Amino acid sequence: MPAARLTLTTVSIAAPVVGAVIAASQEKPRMIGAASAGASLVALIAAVWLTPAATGVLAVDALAAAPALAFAALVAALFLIAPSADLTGANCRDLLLCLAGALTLYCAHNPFLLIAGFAVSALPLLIPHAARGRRAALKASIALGLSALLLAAGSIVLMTATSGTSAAFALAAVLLAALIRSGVFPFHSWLFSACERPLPFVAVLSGQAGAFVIARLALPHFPQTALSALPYITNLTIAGSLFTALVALGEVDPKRTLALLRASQNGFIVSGLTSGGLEGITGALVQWVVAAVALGGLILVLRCLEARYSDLSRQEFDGLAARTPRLAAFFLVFSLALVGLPGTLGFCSAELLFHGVLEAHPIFGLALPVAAAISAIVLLRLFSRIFWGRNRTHVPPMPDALLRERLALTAMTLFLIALGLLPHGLITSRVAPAEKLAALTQPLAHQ
Amino acid sequence: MMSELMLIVILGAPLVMALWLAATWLAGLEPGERTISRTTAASFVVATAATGALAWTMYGSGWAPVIVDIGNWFAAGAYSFPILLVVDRLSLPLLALTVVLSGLIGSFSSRYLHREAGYLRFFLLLHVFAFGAEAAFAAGSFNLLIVGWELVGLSSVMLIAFFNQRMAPVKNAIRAFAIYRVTDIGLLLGVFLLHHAAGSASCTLLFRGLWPQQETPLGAGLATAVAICFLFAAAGKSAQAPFSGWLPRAMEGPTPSSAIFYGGISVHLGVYLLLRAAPIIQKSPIAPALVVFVGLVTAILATLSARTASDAKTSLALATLGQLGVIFTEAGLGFERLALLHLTAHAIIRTLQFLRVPSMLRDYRRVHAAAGGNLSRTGLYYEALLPINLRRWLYRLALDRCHLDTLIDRFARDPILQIARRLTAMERAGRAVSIQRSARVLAGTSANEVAGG
Repeated sequence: MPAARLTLTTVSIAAPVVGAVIAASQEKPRMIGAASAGASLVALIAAVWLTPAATGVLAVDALAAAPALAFAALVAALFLIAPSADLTGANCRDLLLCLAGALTLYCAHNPFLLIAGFAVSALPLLIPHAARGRRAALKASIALGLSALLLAAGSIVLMTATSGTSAAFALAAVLLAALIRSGVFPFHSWLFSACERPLPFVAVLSGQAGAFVIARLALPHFPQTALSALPYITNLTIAGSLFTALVALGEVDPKRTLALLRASQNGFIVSGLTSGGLEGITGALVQWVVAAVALGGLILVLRCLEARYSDLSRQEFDGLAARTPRLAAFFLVFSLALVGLPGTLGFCSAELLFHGVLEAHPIFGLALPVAAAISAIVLLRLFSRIFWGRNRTHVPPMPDALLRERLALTAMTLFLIALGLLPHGLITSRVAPAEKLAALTQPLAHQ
Repeated sequence: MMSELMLIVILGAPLVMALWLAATWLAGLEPGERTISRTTAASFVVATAATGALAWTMYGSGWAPVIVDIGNWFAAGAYSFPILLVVDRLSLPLLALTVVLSGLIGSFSSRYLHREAGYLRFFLLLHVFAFGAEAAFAAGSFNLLIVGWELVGLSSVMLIAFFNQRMAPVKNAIRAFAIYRVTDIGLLLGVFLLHHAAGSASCTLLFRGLWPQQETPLGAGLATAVAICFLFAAAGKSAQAPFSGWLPRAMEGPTPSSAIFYGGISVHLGVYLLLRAAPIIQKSPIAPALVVFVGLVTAILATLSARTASDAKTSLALATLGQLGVIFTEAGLGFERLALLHLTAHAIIRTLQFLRVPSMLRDYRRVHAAAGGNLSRTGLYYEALLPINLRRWLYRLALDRCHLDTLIDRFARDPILQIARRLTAMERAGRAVSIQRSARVLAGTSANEVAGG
């Protein structure tokens, strides 16, 4: 069975690599991209279903299963939803490499593979910018390059460290790499430039590589003597969540607004992971699935609208719900899931996360529900500006969600609502890895 | 077993309807008006029959509470979210009220909204609302109450913005949503405090005895903290001072939704929270006084403001506020039975008044035309006893709805927005500078060129 698992896991990583090679030379690579992402998803499901015990250097364990499946499904959905103009051969290649890298990161039980996955999953944002002359996007390249270097250096030192001091520095480097990649305050600026990129780079934004590195690498190597430092990270990320939500309140550009909300959400996730309690960690592990699907969905709907009507950044009410009611409904459901409204999976994860963080940090933790409330107001304002208002004459006629868009977006919506109504299975599957992580920081929980 | 089945039918009927309407619409198989109105009527008839059967069963058992423990919705560590449903003397009348009034509104709206573009949307939201309100009233734990509470708020906001081609409903919906979300933090924190200190937010564990003679083992300090959090949430939902401004603005929605939300059920949800948490509130040395204070202030300000309202629905909204203030006062004074009776009667009468508004205006015009003038002149009665300067000051105060919106805007909304805009400006300025620096280092180009790029 371990051999089968290794094979299936390897297939799930190899399928997008093969797809990337083929897609690069194609003029219309949508089907190839969708097929290879779909094959990767099926192989991953089979790996999780057939062999629940994790072994080997590439294996989907309990911690990685949910984010890996969510990410593979998101990329497959992206191939269905993305406008044809976005799906050039080069973009499809980058997107599939990003998927392969992310799955390597999630499945790796070897530090070198983990570093490789971390770097490759950021590849679309790392390399092509300067070559395409988009200087404003250099910041993303620098931030992601720096985070990959810090992770590589930190991990290698962590493996070979003989003294406590060098291990502490190495751990600091790993944490810094994870926080930069997460885009939490104050490392969130690169998200803006990433959002300016074409659609496939959404995948990089939706992956929870930074949070995963904290769970996989940083917390297990956290020295017991340094556990007292963990609350400072939690407090920093909580404050960051509030800060970025406030900045989003003043922002008018839809893409930047979503980038800021992504930073705020990642602050929620990291604060839950480092809160030390089982509830907070479980909530964070569920929330990163919710954030990946809901934020991915929001960005995809926005891109669908941009492809139809390129004037979304104006500060006027465009009344697009009259033309595209289904896209409006999808946008609303993803927004509600992201801010934790009942009936969606986001409510369950937010409940656990808030309780866990408030238990550990009763004063600072108060900022978390406040940030969630501000995020909700930001999203409703954004929704109203795009979809409500007079149906202006300058808005051209446009089709509502096409069949392929509707299928993929419905699947994402069903995922959030069905698991929101019946969340027991998913949450129970997150408790086991959360218990392991909580045990690592147990002394902290008893302080 | 029979009672449990009835309760599940009551809650399940609107949920199934909402999911069915959403699914058919999404699939492009939008049902016609007749199908929607008939299935809606059928679902509410079933729910009404189930409510009647439940009431009959409870009557037969001497009004013993019906408790349905479905188990944990989800759990992790010490935290669990129980799906515990309780129907007792407090929740039964409100459940019945919700089912009957929602059914009547559904029947009324099938004609009122005939050929309206958002016909299906209205009925979808009506079912979401009915499910949310029933879930809140039947909740046996404050966790589950949050679910219903939030769904009622969401459907309320979506119906305020029902005519979203006009800007006023959109802006008013955002305002109501902002008030809801901010005040809901009180409910979240109250539930967290109960979990943290008492280990549970289940009513069966928190309260002993039968409503309204219940007691709680919580200490006075914890009870005060929880009560203040709940009062904050209840004030937002029931539009009590200082959050009263959103209720007159919410009248932008269709008249049937105004009736069920702001005359019938939704605005009474805050009162229900106070009545459900009455043992906690009464245990606190200061919370009852705070509830009375909030209620009295709202009643006085609403009465004053109602005298300058220039349209029928706004007059009714302000009259509702006044009554809600009185009900809050009754709840704060510990007259829970009276508050429940008042709430029920008020919900029925106010719903009728809202539904009557469009035809009443036609009747008034006819009567006034026949009489040759306006019959309802004001300012000739008790007001005339006041000095003219005081009357003018009160008039200005009432015209601006006692400055409540102005106060919230000046001391909460505007400063927060100002901070947010400054932070955004700083963010943009910082980004521009750092992009220039990055570009200089990596690409060796001039700052101006980079900024332009």
